[in-house]
Parts: sequence; structure tokens; C-alpha cells
Amino acid sequence: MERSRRRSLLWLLAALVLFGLGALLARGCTGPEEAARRPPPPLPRHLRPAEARRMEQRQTLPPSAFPDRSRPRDPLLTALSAPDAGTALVFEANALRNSPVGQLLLDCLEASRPRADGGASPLESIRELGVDPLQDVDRVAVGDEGMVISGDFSRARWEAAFGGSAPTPYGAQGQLYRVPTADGGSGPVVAAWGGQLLVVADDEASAQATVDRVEGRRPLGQVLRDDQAYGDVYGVLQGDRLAGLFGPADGPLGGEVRDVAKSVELHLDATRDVGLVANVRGDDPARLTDLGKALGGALVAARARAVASGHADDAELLEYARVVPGHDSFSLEMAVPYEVLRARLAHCGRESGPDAGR
Amino acid sequence: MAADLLREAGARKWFLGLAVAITLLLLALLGGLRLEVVDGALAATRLFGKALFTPIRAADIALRPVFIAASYLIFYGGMAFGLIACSDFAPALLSPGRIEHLLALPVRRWELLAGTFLGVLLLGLLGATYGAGGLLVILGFKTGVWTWHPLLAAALAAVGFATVYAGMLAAAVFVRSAAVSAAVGALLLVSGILAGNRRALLTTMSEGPGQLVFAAWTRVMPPLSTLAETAADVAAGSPVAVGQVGTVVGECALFTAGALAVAVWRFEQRDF
Amino acid sequence: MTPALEATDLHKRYRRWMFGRAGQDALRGLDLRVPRGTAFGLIGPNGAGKTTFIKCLLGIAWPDRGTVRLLDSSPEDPAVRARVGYLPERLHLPGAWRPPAFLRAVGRLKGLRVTADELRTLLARVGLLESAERRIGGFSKGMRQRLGLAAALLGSPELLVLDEPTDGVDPLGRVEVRRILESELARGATLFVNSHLLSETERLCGRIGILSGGRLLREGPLDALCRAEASWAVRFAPGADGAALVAAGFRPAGDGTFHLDAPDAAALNAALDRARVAGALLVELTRASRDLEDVLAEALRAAA
Repeated sequence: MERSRRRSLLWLLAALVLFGLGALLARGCTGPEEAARRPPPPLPRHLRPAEARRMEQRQTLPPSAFPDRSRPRDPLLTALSAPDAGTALVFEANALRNSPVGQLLLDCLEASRPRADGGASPLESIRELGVDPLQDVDRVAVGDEGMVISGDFSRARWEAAFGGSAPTPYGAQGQLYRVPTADGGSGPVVAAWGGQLLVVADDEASAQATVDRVEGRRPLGQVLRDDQAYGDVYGVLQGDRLAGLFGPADGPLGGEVRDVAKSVELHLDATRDVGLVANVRGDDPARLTDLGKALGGALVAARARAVASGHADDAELLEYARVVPGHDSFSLEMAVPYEVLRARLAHCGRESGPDAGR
Repeated sequence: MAADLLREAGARKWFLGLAVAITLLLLALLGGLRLEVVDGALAATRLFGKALFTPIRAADIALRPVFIAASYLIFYGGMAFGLIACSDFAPALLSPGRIEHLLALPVRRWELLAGTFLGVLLLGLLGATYGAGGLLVILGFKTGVWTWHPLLAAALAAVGFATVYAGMLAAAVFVRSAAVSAAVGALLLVSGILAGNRRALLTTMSEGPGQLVFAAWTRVMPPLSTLAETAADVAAGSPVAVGQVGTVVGECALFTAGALAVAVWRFEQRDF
Repeated sequence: MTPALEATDLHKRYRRWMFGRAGQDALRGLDLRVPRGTAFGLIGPNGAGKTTFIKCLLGIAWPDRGTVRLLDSSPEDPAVRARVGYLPERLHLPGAWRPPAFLRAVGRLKGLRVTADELRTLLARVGLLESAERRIGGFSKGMRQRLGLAAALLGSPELLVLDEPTDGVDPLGRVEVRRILESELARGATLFVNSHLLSETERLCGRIGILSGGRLLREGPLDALCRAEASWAVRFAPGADGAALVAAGFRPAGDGTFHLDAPDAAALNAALDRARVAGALLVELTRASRDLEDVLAEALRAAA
């Protein structure tokens, strides 16, 4: 009986040792709960509170005399809103520049710039004109009538920038510059407005129309509403602009996109991860549904090809790609985690920089 | 002992009910779930004829949330079921008339406990494997996506339940009561969830005896919530570090062995 | 030959787990040897310690002091328990199983390979062959007891420890059980029986132990214990004067038999002389024996 008692004490000792080992194991490792469990990248699907505040702060123009706007207006969005406009794409340059992805791209750009001539970089050249692209530019937008840039241009020396030609005043705060071409002909017309907008138009009429809209003398279109101004890149494109993303524009898929998709509302978020949402709308719900399926299948096929060919990195880029069907529209969603982008851009600069090829 | 326990479990309504429920659920999925897979993409989903607006994406990616949900259901749902359904195996083993008969047989005391524990472990593994295996077979036939990851996750769920049951067994040796055994199991489950989140919880606690007690308690407890998350990651086929899996399984295994050792210690010296 | 079981100075106290020293002494220095090949019956009042003793014998409970040897080995040795068949007082049987499955399970734990024929033979021996396909949950108390006995008999053990083996068994069934046990005895097995049915114990066991308050009050061969030294059974020829015989000191015991208490030969002969004077003719004279109940009662009185 004593032997059994001694034996039973050994079991108690073993229990204490085992619990102690378990406690040590819990302490010694970093802990599974601390391992980075990457959440899915966020996607821009609606106006967030910070973006709503941003939107309100930008509405610095008084309400238009025309009855179609009853609230203060955003100068850049107003400049884009031609009555027949179908395209308006805005890049939040300031936000992109300060985002982790933006930093990656800038670093990559800087590293890949050839320095063989030892001359000034493009950025330095622009800074000499009184505008620091990395500090003074807020947004860059592309519309049907040209490009619009917003920012702080109070120190800009536009005359030096545009060939020394004297500006023509237009409206209350507009200054028009005609940019000569190399052969001496007339090129685009640039309108600088109020030290905060720069409009690059194809011709003088377009530039004047833009200034008129900003100063409230012309009616506005509705190409991009205020509540659509979310994300780091946002806008509306006509369907045929999307066609080229899926192979040749006259290919089977591209052709279908061009025929079925009437408009595409695009939003891209680059706060950390990069998330893209493209809402595609059309007039034919049935064809739209089929198009959504075809696009979804194309994405899956691309991923499968990448996996099959051993390009795991490419497959990882398409990991979060999907098509979400709706009633009279569908959304194309894609996302790339920041870590993946960082890994992809890690070679940047080493391949194309001064040390490339060694 | 383990085989006898399985035979006994097969005669109990609890387990028959569970088997029937899992089977019905799988049959419902088999018959009611329609998945349209085109070129590897999950294009459309219908459940009992009703279309579900699901994103069009690669079938294997689309199935990940399903496997994750199933993994959590098997882990926590299975554990909750096991707490109740298995709580009286050990008290029944120790019941007067039965334990005396067993102890008079040429079986060592610790073997009786080990056999009971193994039997329950096998029971848990069978149940988890049946559920996970059935699901992956059905989805495999419907989508063409075949993966054994859900089975691995089921094995991890069985590890988790084994950890909790070891504590229940030890409690039953001290107090022959199914209710106490189930209560200890529930306490271990909650403690295991807290242990898996101990670092985050410790940062919310102010320094003092309470924090020390909590830190010490959760350090010994098995990190069940972490095991559940790991199982879900495994089920989804997400990359999981082998070291991470090994660590969390190791902690659970050490706790299990410790609890069993306590049970044997008490069992060896107890009169019946 | 070493005894089948041997207990030396066995002590066992059941302590209250939570409240320290207060407890109950179940065994207080028990010494007992049971030779091999005998049938030993342990009797005593409730709470005497009989079941505790059996548990200490088989390693189900641990004695506080003393030693126990079972078939010349320690009960902690699983190998020696394989040679023992045990029927507990309250055997728990799995209700959903059938008898063959239960016996096979017990056989497996005993390390035996039991064939289907052996199972059938065993079930027939205990009178359960016709119920072999029924679930145990539907058995009566007696049927469960028979099944428990069958489990104890598995593997032809050298020592059978039976705690109330005929509890719940009908009278005819008891006869069958007794025959089974007698055949085991004839095979050379040792029987250790704890039973409240003194008549059954008397019929089966050649040695008896009386346990009370954790102590062995009496122990020895049955006939020695039951023999009443100073008591005689006398039969007279028909026609004897009953009243005269009573006056001479004879007590009627029914069926023409009289009992006489005579401490020595002189007193016996003096009484016989008085009977002959009364006209009674002696036809039979034997020592009177007591039944076990009397022995038990006397032992308990003496102990008190």
C-alpha cells in the first residue's frame, strides 16, 4: 500500500511539472495571439465621416446663381461639372502622397530616376516656378474638358512656366495663359483661378467655360456628386473607358463592356492597403448580370493562370478580387494588402536605379 | 475501456441525436444548396431555390468563409455539446457497483482513467471529423474544390475538447457529479478563451493583486480561443506558421497531461 | 500451501475528507487466513466491516495499516487479480448491452479470449441462455445477479469473492447458484462469500468468520462453531410421559425430540436415569448443534 501511495505522489509531481512547462511555454513564445492576422483590406464603399468633413471644408464657393445648386460649392468639382460631362476622375494627390503606398511609389520613382546627367530632377525644375508638387498640390482631376489641379498656387510664377506669355484676365479671378507649341503654334490653354485652381483645357472656350462655372455664370452638370467624393481616387467614367482594362477594347470582353456598361463609378482607397471598388451601371440588367459573371470569371481565370504558372505574387494580387452582383449594376472589387505591395516594390530602384544591371 | 465507452455512447440518445442532426444538416446542404461554378469561379448560389447574392469570385476563396464558420461551429459548438453530453461518463465510471467491479479486474487504476479519456477523445474526433468531412465532401462535389484543411481543423477542435475534458475528468474523480464535471468544463472553456486573449486583457487591468492572479491563472490555462482561431485559419487554408500551431497545441497538450496526472493522483489513492 | 487470502492486523478508518480527524473505524486489527480450496463465509451485522474487508482484499480500498495477501501476492498486482473472480454487492451493468457483449468486455479486461461457445456454456450454466439476446436493461434483479456471477466465473478463477451472491435470486435459483459454487469448489477454487442468508452460508461454507465492529469475533470450521458442547438431543420410544420428561430436565424440541443441557457425563447420565425411572425408553442420543443464527447472536452478545 505504501508503494501505491509513493507512486501516486509521483503523479502529483508530474502534474505540477507539466503545468509548469505549460506556463513556461505560454511565456516564452511571442504568443499566437500576437501574430499578425491580416484583416481583409478595407474597401471604399461609402462616404466616411472624415471624408464628409473634408468635403464640407472644400465647399468654399458661394452657392451658384443658377437654381441647380443651393449650397456652397467645391471649386474643383464645380470646374469638372460641365453640363454634358460624362467623365470626372479626381486624384487626392495630398492624401496619396502621404499614404504608405504613396511613399513607396515616390521612393520607387526617385530611385528609378536616371542620374547620369547629374542635372535637376523634374520636381526641382517645377519648384523653381514657385510650386512644390509635393507640398502645394492638393488634388489633380481629369474631366471631359481637360485637367483641373487644386492647391496653393499663391507663389506660382505662371508666366515663367508658360513660355513667358502674359496672361489674359478672365472673369473675377481668372488668368488665361496660352501655351505655345514647339513649332510656334497654339497649344493648350491654361487658366489659373484665385491662386487655388489651375485648369488645363484644349482650347480657350473650354477654359473660359470652366472659369464661368466656377464663378457661377454657367449651369452645372452632375457628373460627380459631393457624396461620391470618397476615397483617395474617385470619379465617374464612361463605360468604354473601362473596356481597355480587360484586354483589347475590341476584344470579346472589352467589346461587351463597351456595349453594356454605361457608366462606372470608381473609388480607390490607399490609406494603407489599396482597395478598389468600381460600380458598373447599365441599361440592360440581364446583360449587365452576364457581364458581371464574365468579369468575375476573367479574374478567377487570371488568378488560376498565375497559380498554375507559379506566379504566386500575381495570384496574391488577385486574392481579393471579386464581382458583387446587384439588381441593375454590379461592383468589381479588388484589394491588395500593403505588405504585398511593399514586397512587390522592394526591387524597385535596385533594378532601374544607378546600380541596375550590376 | 475506450472501445467500451464508444459502444456505450452509441447507445445514448445524446450522441444518436447529434449524429442525426449532423446528418440532416449535411443532407439539407446536399439537397438544398446549388452552387454554380464557371471556370473555377463561384458565379451563383442558391439555397432551397432562393438566390443568394454572393460575390463572383474564385470558388476556393469563396469557400473560405464557409470553412471558417464551420470550423468555429465545430470547435465551440462541439465543445458546448461535449460539455453536457460527456459530463457523466466519468461519474458513471466511478459509480458504486461499477468501479468496484472494474478495480477488481486486472486493470491498473490509471488505465481506467486513460481508457475513459481516450474513448471521449475518440468520440470528439469522430464527431468533428464526420461534420467537417461531410461538409468538405459535399462542397467538393458541388464546387470541384477539394481540400483536407477542414479535417485538420477538426483535429484541432478535438485537441481543444480533449483539453477541456481532461479537466472534467479530474473534477469527477474528486467529486462524482456530472453537474460539477460540466461546470468545471465550462469554467475551463471560459478560462481558455481568456487565456487566448490574456495580453490584450492584461493591458486593460491596473496593476495589483488582481492582475497578478489573472496573469498567473491565464498563464496556466490552455489558450483555447487561440486554438480556435488557428483551427479556423487552417480550415481556410490561410498560411499558418508551423511554430504557431505547435506552440498552441503544445500548451493545450501540456495542460491536458497535467490535468490527467492530477486525476490519476487522486484516483490512485482514493477508496471506493 | 499458502492460503488463498491472508490478512494481518488490518486497520481501516474512513476519514471525513474535509473535517480532518473525525472518522469511522471500519476494521480494527483484523487477522484472517483462508486456506486454498475451502469455502469461507463471512457473516456479521450491518456495518460490521464485511464489505470494507472485501474491498481491502481486492485493492478497491486501501487499508491504513496491516497487510493483505491474495493468492500469495499483493492485491495491487494486476496479474493476481486476473486469477480472482469478484461479484460486488451492487453490480452496475450497462443497460443497453446484451449479456454476450458484457461478458466479452469483461473477458477483454481480464485478458481472456472468450469464444462464442464458451459464452453460451457460461450463460447456460447460470440459467441465462434463453435471455442472451435481450438487453440487460430489461433484466430482473435475479437475472442481473446471475449475469454478475457469470462474469465472476469467467476464466475459471482460483479465488471467487462473492458479496451477497444470491441477493434477489428466487429460491430455486439459489439452489442453482449453490450448485454452481459447489462445482467450483470441487474444481479446486476457493470461495469467499459474504451473505446475509445464513442458511445459504451454512449449506455452502465449511469455514465461517463472524465480523462485528471491525473485529473478527469468531472464526473456524462451521461444525465446530455450531457444535453446542453442553447440549444433547434425545429421542425416546413412543409413549413416553412428556410431563415427566420435562420434570426430569428435558425440553421438547418438536417431532419427538428433546433437548437436554448437561455440562458433563455425570449430569447427562443422571438425567437419563430420571427419564428411565419415568418409564421412557432411550432410542437415540446425539449432541445438539445450533444453527448459524444462534452462533451469530451468541457471538454478538458476548462481544457486547
